[in-house]
Amino acid sequence: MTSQQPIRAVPAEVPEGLEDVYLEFLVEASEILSRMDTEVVELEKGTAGPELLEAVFRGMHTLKGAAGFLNLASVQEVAHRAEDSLSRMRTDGTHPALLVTVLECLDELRELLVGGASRTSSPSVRVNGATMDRLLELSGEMASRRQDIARLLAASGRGIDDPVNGMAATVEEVHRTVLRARVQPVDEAFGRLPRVVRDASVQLGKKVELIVRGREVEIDRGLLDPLSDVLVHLLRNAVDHGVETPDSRRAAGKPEVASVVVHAYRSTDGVVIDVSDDGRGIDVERVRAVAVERGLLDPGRAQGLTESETAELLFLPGFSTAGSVGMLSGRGVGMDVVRTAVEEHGGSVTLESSKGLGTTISVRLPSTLLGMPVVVFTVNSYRCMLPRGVVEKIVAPDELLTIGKELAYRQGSVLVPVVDLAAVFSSGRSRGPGLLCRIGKGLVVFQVSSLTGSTETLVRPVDRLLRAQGIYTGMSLTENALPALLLDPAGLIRRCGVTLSSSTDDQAEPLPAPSSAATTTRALLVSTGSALYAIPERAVLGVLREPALAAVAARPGIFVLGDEVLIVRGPDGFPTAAPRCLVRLADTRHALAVERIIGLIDIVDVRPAAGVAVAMTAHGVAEILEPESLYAGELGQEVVR
Amino acid sequence: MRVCLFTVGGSRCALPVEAVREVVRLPETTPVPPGTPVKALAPLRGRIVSVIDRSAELGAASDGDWLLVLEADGRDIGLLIDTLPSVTDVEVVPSAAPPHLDPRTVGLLAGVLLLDSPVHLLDPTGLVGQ
Repeated sequence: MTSQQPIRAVPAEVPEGLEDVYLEFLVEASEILSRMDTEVVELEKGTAGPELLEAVFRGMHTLKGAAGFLNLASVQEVAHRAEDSLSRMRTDGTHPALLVTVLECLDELRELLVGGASRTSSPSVRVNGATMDRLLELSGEMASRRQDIARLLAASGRGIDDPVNGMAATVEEVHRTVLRARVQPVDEAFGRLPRVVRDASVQLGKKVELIVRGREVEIDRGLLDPLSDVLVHLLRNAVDHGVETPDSRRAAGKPEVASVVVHAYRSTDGVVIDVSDDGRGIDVERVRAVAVERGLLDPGRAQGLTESETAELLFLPGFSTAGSVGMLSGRGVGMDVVRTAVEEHGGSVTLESSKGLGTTISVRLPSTLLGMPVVVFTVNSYRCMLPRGVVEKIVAPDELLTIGKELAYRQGSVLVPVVDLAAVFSSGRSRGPGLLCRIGKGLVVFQVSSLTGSTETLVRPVDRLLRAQGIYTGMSLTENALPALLLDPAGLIRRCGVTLSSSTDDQAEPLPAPSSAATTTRALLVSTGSALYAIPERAVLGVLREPALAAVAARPGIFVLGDEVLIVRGPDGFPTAAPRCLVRLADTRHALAVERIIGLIDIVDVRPAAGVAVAMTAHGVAEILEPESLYAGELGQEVVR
Repeated sequence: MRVCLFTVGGSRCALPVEAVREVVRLPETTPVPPGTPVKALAPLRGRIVSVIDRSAELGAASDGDWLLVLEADGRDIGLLIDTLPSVTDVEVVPSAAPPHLDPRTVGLLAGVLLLDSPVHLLDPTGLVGQ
C-alpha cells in the first residue's frame, strides 16, 4: 500500500447511494476551509473590501448546504453558527469577537470533516497519488526488465540492439512523464501558515505580517506534508522568539508590525524555503550561556565560538532559549526536531542571524524524492543505502586507525569515530571501506563490507515494523531489482550512542563535542609496542627506568619495590612481567608498566573517538589514560570501556 | 467460511481468503538485520514486500519456499509458508486457542479450527504485530 492514509470511512448518517458524493464533498470542504482560513485572517486586518466578506459567506453557505444534503447534522449546525456571525458582520462590520467565532467554527469543521490537521492534500489527491506511485513502480520495473533483456541479448550475441534501444527511450519517457506528475506547487504546503501566524501573534500580543513568495515553485508531492509541519514549527518560533513586542519594536526604531517572510525558490539541487523575520535576531551571549548551563558546551570554549557556530548550538537536542517555557514553542523540542524531519527527507537546515535585524532559517529539500541520490553498499549479507548528500568521502580500510579497541579516522586534526555497521546489525565485523558522513556539523565514519555503487532511486516508505527500529527511513529497488534498505544516519548514531567529532574548517575553531574535556593538559607520553598513551601529569607520581622490582610469587601483577607493594598493570589493564619502565601513579598503590617513556607534552587536541579519549601528538595518536580509570581495580576494563 | 490452508514451520494454518492477496514462489530476497519480525525484503513486480517469518512461533523454525502476501492493518506484508495453499470452505466455528499455549503463538491466532486435525486460524493483524 503506497497511499499514506486509508480512505476515510463514510459516516452512517450519510444516505445510502451518496457515499461517492460524500467523498467528493470532503475534498471540496477541505479546499473551502483552507481558503476561508486565509480569507478570515485577511478580514481581521480590516483593510479588505466588502467582497471578501461576501466570499467567506458564500463558502460557508456552500458547506452548510452540502452538509444538509448529506444529512450531516453536526457539520450543518457549526456552519450555521459561523454563518450567523458572518451575517452580523455584514450589518455591524467585522467585529473581532465575531471573527474569532468564525475561526473557531472553521477549526470545528475541520475536526469534523478533515480530521484535525488542516492538511491541504485532500483524500482524492492521495488516491490519485497512490495510482501515480504504482505507475512509477511499474515504469521502474519496465526499465529494469529492459536491462535484463539487453543483458540476455548481449550474452547471446544477437544483433537486435536497435529495437531494444528504441524501447529503452520509450521506457525512459514514460518514467519521466510519471515523475513530472508527482510535483506540485509548494503553495500546497503554505495553506496553514496565515492562520498559524495569526493565532501565534494574537496569543503573544505581537503584530506580525506574513509575506509569502514563490508559491509556484514545484516540489515532490510527498514532501508537502513534512514541509508544512516544519514551516508551522518555524513560524511559531519566529513569532514567539524572533519577533519583539510592539513596544520593544517601537523602542528599537522598527515598525510596530513585524514581517515574517516565507520565500520558496529553486536552487541547483532542489528547492529552498527561507523563513525570515525582522525580529531581534539571536542573542549569541544568551545562547552560549544556555548551552553552558545545559552542559552542552564547555565554558572554556564558549567565548571562542563564532556567531554561526553559536547558532549551530540551537540545533542540539534539547536546546531551547526560551527563558520560560512558552505556550507555543520553547518546549525543549525545537530546532533539532526540525532538522531531523528535514534530514529524514534528504534535506538540510541552516540558520543565519544578525542581532537586532532578524533571523533567516533556510530549509533545503530535494525537488523530488524519486531520484534520490544514494550510495549503495553491503554490510555482510545486508544491502543498504545512505543518502549521497551526507556522504563526504569514501575511506579505504587501511586509512582507519586502531585506537584502543576502536577504530578512528583522521580528518585533519580531528579524529572521527568509526561505527562498524556490522556490529550495529549484530553480525560480526565489516572489515571493508568506510563512508565519512556529515550529520549536522558532526562527522562519523560508517564502516561497511563493500561498496556497490552510487545511483538515483525511488525511495518508498518502509513497513512500520521496520520504521519502529528508528534506523530505516525507506527502501528501494537497486540494480538487479533487489531491494535495499535506506539507513538513517542520525538514527544509527542514536542507536549506538556514539559522540560525533565536530568537523572543522582550517580557520574556524571547532565546536567541542559535549563530552570532551577540551582544555590543554600536561601529560606524560609513553609507549608500548606501537601504541602511544598519554597519562595526565596530575596522575603521575614518578617514573622509574629498569626498576628493581621483586615479584610476589603466585600473585601476578603484584611487585615489591623497596618496602612498598605495588599493583602493576600494562596499559591494556592486564598484569605484566617485570617491566622495562614503570609509571607510578598518584594514588601511590598503582603503577603502569610501559616499554618506553617519551616525555611530558601538552595535549592540545582532545577528541573523544568512538568512546576512547585520544590526543594528537607529534609522535602520533595517543590514547589518554584517565587517572580515575587507572586507579580502579579493574584497570583494563575501565581503560578500554 | 472460505479459507486458504497451508503449513508454516510444519504446522497447519489457515487464513480467511479475503485477507490473502496472492501467493508466489519466494523470489530472491534481501535479508533485513535482526531486531524486527521482518526477515527480508522481497521484490514483487516493481514493489517491495516486507517478509515476516512466523515458523518459530507456529511450528518449527524453517525456511518457507512460498510467500503469501496478505493485507493486514492497512498494508501488504508477506508471510513465509511451506506449501502452496489450497482453498476450502469450512463449516466449523473457530474454537478459542487453549490457554496453555505460548502467548507469542496465541498472539498470532484468531482461533483454532477443529477439522480432521486442528488448524491454526491466523489473525492477520496479529501476524504483522511486533
